[in-house]
Amino acid sequence: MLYRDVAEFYEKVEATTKRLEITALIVDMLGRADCSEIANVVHMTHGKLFPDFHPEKIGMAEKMALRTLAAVSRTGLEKVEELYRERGDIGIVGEEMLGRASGSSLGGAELTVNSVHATLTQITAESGQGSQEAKVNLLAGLLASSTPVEAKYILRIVVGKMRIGVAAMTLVEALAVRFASKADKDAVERAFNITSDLGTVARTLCEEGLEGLSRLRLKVNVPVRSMLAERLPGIGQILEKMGGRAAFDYKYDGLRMQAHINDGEVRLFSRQLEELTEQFPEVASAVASVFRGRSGIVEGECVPVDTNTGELLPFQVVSRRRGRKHGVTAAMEEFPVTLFLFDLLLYDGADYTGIPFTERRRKLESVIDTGAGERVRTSTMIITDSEKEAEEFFTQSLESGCEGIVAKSVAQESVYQAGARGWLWIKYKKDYKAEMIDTVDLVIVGALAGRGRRSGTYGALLMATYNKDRDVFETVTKLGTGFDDETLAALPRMLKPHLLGAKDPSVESRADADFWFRPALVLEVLGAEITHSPVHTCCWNEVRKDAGLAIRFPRFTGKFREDRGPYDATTSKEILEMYRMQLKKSS
Amino acid sequence: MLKASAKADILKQIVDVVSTLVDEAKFNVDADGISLKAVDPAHVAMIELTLGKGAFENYEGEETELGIDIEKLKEILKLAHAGDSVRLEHNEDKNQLIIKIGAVTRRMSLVDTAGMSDPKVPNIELPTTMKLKAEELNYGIKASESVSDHIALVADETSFEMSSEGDSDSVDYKLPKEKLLQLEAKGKVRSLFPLDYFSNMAKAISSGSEVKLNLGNNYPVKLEFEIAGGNGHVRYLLAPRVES
Repeated sequence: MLYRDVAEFYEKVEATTKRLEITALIVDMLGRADCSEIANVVHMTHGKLFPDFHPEKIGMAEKMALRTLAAVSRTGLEKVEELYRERGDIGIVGEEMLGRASGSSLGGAELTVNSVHATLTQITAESGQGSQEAKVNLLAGLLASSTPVEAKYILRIVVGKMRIGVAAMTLVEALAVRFASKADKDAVERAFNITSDLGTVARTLCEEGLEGLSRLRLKVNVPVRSMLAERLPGIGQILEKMGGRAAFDYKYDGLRMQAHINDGEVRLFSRQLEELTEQFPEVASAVASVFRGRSGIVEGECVPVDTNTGELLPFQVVSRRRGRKHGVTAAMEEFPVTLFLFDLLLYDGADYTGIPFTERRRKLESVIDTGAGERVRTSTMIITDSEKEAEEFFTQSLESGCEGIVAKSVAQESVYQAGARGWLWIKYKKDYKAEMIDTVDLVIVGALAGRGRRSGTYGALLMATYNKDRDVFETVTKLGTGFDDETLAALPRMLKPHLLGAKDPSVESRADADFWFRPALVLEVLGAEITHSPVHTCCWNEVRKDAGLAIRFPRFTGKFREDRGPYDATTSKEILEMYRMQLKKSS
Repeated sequence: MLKASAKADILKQIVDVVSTLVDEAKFNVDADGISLKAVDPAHVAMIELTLGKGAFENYEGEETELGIDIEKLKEILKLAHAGDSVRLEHNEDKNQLIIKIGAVTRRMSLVDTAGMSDPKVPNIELPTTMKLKAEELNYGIKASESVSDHIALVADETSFEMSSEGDSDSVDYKLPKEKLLQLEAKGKVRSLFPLDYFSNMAKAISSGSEVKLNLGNNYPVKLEFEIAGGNGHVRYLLAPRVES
């Protein structure tokens, strides 16, 4: 399939906001790809080259991509950078620049999906001395043989900002429609959730049809998409929802982690499916020594512990270790962590995800030798039908430094729903106790200039949720309280790398701002309540026509969610659920 | 390892044909001579150059790579008069090229070649082949320069034509087969090229040289000619401007 044809579909997808039309276009596009290229089509439509857990990233900064673009379009770098500041989207800049100056190819050959993927993979593989030059060179060759529209999407993939509004679930649905029927969406989604790899799912569907998916299995060293919990504001409600009896697990305030064990070798993955083995070597070796078995996947929460008192420490301490490539040894001594395991998904080749929670938990306890060290434990858990006992357990969890508890269904159908947020697990956090709903993680997208004592910094930050379905950021509140003077003074410097000349195209805002930022920094925010808003675009038209939802009296908790990217922020849908829950509570 | 000397005008010629496309280049040295493959930063044009040891007065080489700042070398060679001998020696320890011109010893540090990989030369078949004098080519370019930023090269069995079309003006320079040294064509072909590139390439060809030109339909053009009295060979490839 020619890359030009794929790019034409992207143009049509970008031109519409209607979900049905987008899905239909993707279905059409998938129909043009053959089985040898469909995995690449799917990954690249998602703005990637490989599945999320693949360790290799393109590793090209925007600056480098702009430099390449300047060379290929035979324009000064300053001019290209200026245009980038105006447009805020490197793809559009590329399209404009190449529209003026190219459309030629030395090789004389047209780009195909596979040739573009192969060159981008080569760019990814370049490392070490001279690699930046080599990357620029490879990209220049690719852009020189691109049409302006092809260049638009190639550049967006290179800098990791595809953003054509095609979420993973849209691709799942389109794959189902293309190779089976819309009704088979769940089967496709399940295959995605256990493989975390839409490319493999697509290729399997193309080669073997729907039946092929049943042959996709949980595999060691292929991370599984984590099961997520719903939320309810009271333990009584939770017990009721669970049928009167439930398991309650400590909700540790740490880093969700999957450990994959294979013959004594252990690899660790985060909830975002990134590999963490290098950053937590002591956890990996501890898992290897406590695991009784040949291979398996276990899941838990990694929490920093005070070596002197044995107390659990706040999550930020562990977040400092993430992304760290150097000084791991020093970090290991400074912030020792313990992995509290709460689930088992695979054991010696047997898939446990379809087995009820209580049995999984029993198996987990039997295969982990908890006496063998401090670094790996099983989570603290009780099973009860008493609301009072659960309340006491909740208080005890807070005293131990946890965020709250997670209730888990003890029913027969309580399977591990990879990648899904459902009512089999329900979380209950301390913030529900106060009038406020819960803390939320919001992305900074803009700011208002500060006055008086705050001149030189910001008066308020324009905060947004992530709308996963439409792949846009929607504003939900203006945040001005909860900052100490030091943080306030540091904000302009922290935000400078993300500063744009105009609103980022992925941000939907009706509010005006003095500064606009590329969605990047995520803050934890506590609010008083959720109300209708004529200004904020979160859940626009969902609850009331010409109104969105806003968080009132927001307050920064002091926590920079460095572990979260903009796409991990609280979603608009979650705000909608909180809003509905709040209504229920007050009525 | 490289120890060689050559006439200054031969080195100047090499610098001219390479500097048309790149500011820095990686020269591959071996026992038989020197070669280079490079693509310009915009990836519009490519050069392949080979220079046999016969081009030198004396030559001793072992496999190595020299990253050379072409503009710098150009300046250095200005110190030489026509007919002067220039001595080149690679100091591997200091990664320098030592250039001796008469009583001048100039030590030029080399550029890191780690990021400069040899570009892949595309395998393209061009249906039309012709040979002509460099002067004819440059004449046609000169005629086009005041008209447009692009030049169209058109050929069929009977003639070769260079033409340009501007907003209001146009120009054709037509060479019938008899005015060419050679013409082999099957049917009509036409490709459009950026004039600045094409002009710079053509100007780098010494007058009096014969140029072999290969052309296709909306396809790259290939220009080949000899340098250093037949001891060296240059091949330029230029991408077309595809008209939509």
